[in-house]
Amino acid sequence: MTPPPSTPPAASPPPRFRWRRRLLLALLALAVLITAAVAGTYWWLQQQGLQLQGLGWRNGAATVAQWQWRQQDCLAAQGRGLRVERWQPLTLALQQLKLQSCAKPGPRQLPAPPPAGLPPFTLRIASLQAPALPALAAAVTQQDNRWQAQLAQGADKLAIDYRSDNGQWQAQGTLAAARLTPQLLGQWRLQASGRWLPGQLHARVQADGRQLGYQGDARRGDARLLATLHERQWQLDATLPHALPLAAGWLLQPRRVLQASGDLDGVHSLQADLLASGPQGRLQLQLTPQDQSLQRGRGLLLLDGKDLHARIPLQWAKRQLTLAAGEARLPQGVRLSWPQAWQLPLSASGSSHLPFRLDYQQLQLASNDGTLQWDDGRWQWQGALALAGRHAGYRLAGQWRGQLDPQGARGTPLQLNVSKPPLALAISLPVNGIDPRQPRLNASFDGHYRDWPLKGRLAARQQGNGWQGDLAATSRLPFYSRGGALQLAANWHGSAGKWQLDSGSKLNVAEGIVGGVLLKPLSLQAASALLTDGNRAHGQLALSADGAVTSRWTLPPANGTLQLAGEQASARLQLPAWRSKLQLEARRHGAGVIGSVQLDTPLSAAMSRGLGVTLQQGQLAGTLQGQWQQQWQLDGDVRLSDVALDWGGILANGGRGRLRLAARPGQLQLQSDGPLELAQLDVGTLLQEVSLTLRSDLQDWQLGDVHARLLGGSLQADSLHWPSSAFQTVTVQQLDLAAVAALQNDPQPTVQLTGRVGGTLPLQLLPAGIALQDGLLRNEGELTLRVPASAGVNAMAQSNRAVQLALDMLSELDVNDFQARLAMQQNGLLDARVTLKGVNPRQNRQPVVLNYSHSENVLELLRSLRIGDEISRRVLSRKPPAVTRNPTPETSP
Amino acid sequence: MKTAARWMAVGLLVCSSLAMALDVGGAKAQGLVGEQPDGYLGVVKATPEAVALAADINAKRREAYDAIAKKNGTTLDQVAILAGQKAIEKTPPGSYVKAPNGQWVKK
Repeated sequence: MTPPPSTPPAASPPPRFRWRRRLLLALLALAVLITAAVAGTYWWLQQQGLQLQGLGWRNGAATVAQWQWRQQDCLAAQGRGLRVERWQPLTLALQQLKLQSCAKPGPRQLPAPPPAGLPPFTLRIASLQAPALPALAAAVTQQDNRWQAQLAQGADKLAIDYRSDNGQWQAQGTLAAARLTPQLLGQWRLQASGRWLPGQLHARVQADGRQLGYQGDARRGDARLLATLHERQWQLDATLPHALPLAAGWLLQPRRVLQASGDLDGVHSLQADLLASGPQGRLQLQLTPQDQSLQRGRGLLLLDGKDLHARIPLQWAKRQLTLAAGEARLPQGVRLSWPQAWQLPLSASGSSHLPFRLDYQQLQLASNDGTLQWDDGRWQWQGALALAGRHAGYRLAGQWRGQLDPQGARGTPLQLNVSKPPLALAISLPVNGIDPRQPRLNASFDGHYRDWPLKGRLAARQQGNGWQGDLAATSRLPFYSRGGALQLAANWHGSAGKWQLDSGSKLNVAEGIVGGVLLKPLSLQAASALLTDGNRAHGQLALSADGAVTSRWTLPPANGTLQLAGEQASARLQLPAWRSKLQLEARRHGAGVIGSVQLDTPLSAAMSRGLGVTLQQGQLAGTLQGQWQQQWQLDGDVRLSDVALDWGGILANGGRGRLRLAARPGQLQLQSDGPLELAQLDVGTLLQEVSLTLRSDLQDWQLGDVHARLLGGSLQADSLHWPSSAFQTVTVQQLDLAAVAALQNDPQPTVQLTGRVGGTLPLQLLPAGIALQDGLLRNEGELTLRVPASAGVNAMAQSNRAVQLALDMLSELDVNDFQARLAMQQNGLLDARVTLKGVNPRQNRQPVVLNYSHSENVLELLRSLRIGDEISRRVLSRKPPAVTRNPTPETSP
Repeated sequence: MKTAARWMAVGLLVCSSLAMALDVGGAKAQGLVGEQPDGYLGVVKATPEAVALAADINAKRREAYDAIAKKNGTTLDQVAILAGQKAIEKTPPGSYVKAPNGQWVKK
């Protein structure tokens, strides 16, 4: 029999598939649990104030881009760049961690120690930022309740070791003083130890400063700071075992400078006694709190010294410091005063109205509305400044309104008026955009010095420890009645007391009129750098001048160099057109200048344009010593050689001699040094070997020892004075009558003369002319007079019997007595009365007496001395005496 | 248009050259220069043009005086003084001449 069919049993999966399903379910449950755990952890972290952003996975490690930890509404910490480098042991790396204080008002609690029983971990922070600390690199490890931390910034390190099981901790480290302020030198060493358990914190901290000092000061000192904390109570004791150098030569004197005690909530006692001494005096600060919280107290700031004095009571209350109105006398005679109390909020941000006045000698700088604002380490002053008073004889008045902060100044241009008659300048200096670290200034000025207008622009920028820039200024030389515009363009650099105008700096003076002189353009250019300390200058200048013109004379272009060497200066100038050379040297002497001038030049007609004489040739060399004190003077000598010149129809050559010259304002003295000589002077009659001495002030001319060869004889005068109304004697000797007769310039002269005459000619020398009175010429030995027969003589003889007889007697006459009495008026009219006594050898030596009178204009007569020619010609032709020639010059071109 | 501009430029050049030119008569009429007893032109009102003109004229006069003086055997200054007297005499009324006391006066 077959068993009844029964319901086939449901097909059950194979055991392999069941296992997979169970595994899948288990994984699903695990995922749910993990998700729930992560979500729960995330939720719990959020509840704790921790917020994560940017969770991720990179290079096999979990990362968190940013996170924040808030305690209530305070952001206590925030970080970025968290990376879990290892899970076992846990190793975390953090790029940045920024901590902030979230302390709340009220009693402060001891900080809780880190929790015990934590798994081992290591935390490295690239940049840890905490209040009042610079950015640090930190590494913290914990293993078996032992915490170790390393904080570092550069070479400065702090190592902390803490055991959480017994609370013992210790720390040690070093800190370069320059970390606090770059100018400080030396090193601080920190050692600390104590115990830290829940509700219990003991600490003893000792900081020793070694070889502390200040840059630029060789002195060094030590300092010690000792602080203890026991539970909530603390004590602080700062001691200086040695003097501690400060800036600018100041020393903080050795003593217990600060003692304080208190608890976590405030200060119970504080005794500050800072005493510093320096070149200017002493500074002492005493602070005495009036309550344990240090919320209120009084103090005193004392300044005492030769150039330092102040007694400034101060007090603080309700987080505000008040400095009583007062004043402080500061070094260099500076006095700072504030007419009302300064109130400064003792807070990280705030503002204060700070009126002040700064007095320096006769200068006052004041601000009545200035306000200082500060916020989180930044500060700004804003208000108006007013400067007034006098300094170094200059009256100064200035004003400025704007803001000042570490980045510079902003506001209206600084306006400064500087005046000290005859100088007055208004200076404007825009301040916007001036970077205090690399200041660039562009000031403009406008004003005048005496009658000199001054206008220009000065640019300056800091270069290292000095300044450099350019200067462009215009002016007009005040002694120019027209033109004379002056233009200066210079590049400069230097520092206080040592300035330099760069090579190429140039001063141009445009054409203009000074008096009646047309001065052509001239320029001065720095051929080298010009150095000056404000009083003296060194360097070389090149001068180029186009010359000068007046209505009568012209000075050709000149060029040369000017050498400045501190107290001395020299110049070499040339006038190429005249081949003239001029050398000047000068040096400072007291309040003035002394120096010399050397001139060496050929003489030429081109120089004579303004003279009544034309220089034909010659050489002039002179050396003059000069000084310019309250008035100037020049003394020296001028040497002339090989001089040839003419006054028109009067010629002179072979001139030489030496003249001493003395010039003062308004006067000039010339005096010959030795004889002045002329080889020839042709005034119609030739004078030779002229020699004389000269003394003149250009108004009065005194000639002495006058000698000359004339007509075979000589001329002599001991002294001649022009102008003078006195009749001064000129003596002539041994005048050769044959030479006189030769002046007829006739190969067959009408009159033949031999023998010599001499005499005296008293002359009156006046500007209006020359007069002669009682002049007398006499024979010096025997004379002969011959009137040889000629057609003219025969004609005269045949015209009149008396004339024939006279000519017969004069045809040959031996004269043993000759007298010529001469007189001449200023107008030149000469009267001559001549008496001849002698014999005619051809007529039995009959005695002959001839009286002859003659009037002639001496202006012509003396010029030619052709008396014989004139006598014979006018006697024969009965021509009336000629009058002075009357030239007809061309009066217009 | 271009032609007109050229003519205007030429006109301006001509006018400017005329304006710059200064002769003795014009200078005297303007009171810039005057005759002096020494035979030379003097500058009454110093302008660059007047000084330059006087310097030029006086240089030429001096050459002329010098030639006359040499020809007549007299001095350059004597010739110049005589010429100065004549020049002052010939100066038309209204122009400046220098008086013996050194002052400029209108004739």
